[in-house]
Amino acid sequence: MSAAKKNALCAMLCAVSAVLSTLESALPLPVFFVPGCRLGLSNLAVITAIPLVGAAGSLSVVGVKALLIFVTRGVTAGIMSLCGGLLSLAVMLFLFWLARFGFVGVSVASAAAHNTAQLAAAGLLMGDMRVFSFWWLYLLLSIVAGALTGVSAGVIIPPLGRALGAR
Amino acid sequence: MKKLSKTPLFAAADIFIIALVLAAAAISFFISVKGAGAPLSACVKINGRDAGVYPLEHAGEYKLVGENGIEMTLVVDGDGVFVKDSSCRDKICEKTGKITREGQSLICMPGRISIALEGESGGADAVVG
Repeated sequence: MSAAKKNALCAMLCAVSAVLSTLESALPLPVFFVPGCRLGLSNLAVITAIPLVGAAGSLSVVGVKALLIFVTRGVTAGIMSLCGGLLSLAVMLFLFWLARFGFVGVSVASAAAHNTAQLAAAGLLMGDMRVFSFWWLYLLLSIVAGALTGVSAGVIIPPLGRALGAR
Repeated sequence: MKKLSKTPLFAAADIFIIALVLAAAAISFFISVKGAGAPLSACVKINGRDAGVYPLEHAGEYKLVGENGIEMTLVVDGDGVFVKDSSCRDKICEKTGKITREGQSLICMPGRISIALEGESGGADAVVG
């Protein structure tokens, strides 16, 4: 892929993550019944970015998403998004690099990392680590949400990569 | 990065990841959710500082004022506490509902308010109500 094509794709993925994250916050999930719990749909843009535009490109998707949340929902939400996004990106990059796992496994690990980093950020911001009393619930939900986004990623990414002429 | 075509939808090793997350969830579940024992109190912290202890036997409604001008009404009844009327727009603390067991907590991120149920042995700095 040429550098220009990569840049354009990266910008498009930033836009996709912004749309997915906005769409998702408009979508109530009473089924899950957990404070602040979401499906993590915008992670689809990040997991797509890793094989298509590489580590630097996917980092920019995480950064743009956090910036958007910072502007629309405030400093606290922005910091929490950045913490979750960075740890989950690091986990995904590592697992993709190991090349032993499928999209479902990578996605579940990334969801768990995202939730854990957000709880840690919430605990540090408030000076109260009791927020971890919900950790088990977020971990269980990250298996469900991670599997759903992982299946979507596994269905979407390979044909998208072929269409874009990636390796 | 590895070749895209080499990444399957689901690999056998994924089971290991899921098992690991499940194990972590099980361990933290048993650490966090202890059975009922001593009488419980709702311990409130605002921005990391203790801001009052509300024993469950003293039922009533209490106003809490957090950071960023966020106000909420904490309702204490015989077996638990919940948040009514938070001025924050997320309302995550309200949606959490009533907490009734030791170790559970209600969190308001914008107001930096956390309310956790603790046993009597927690060592109260101030008793309110």
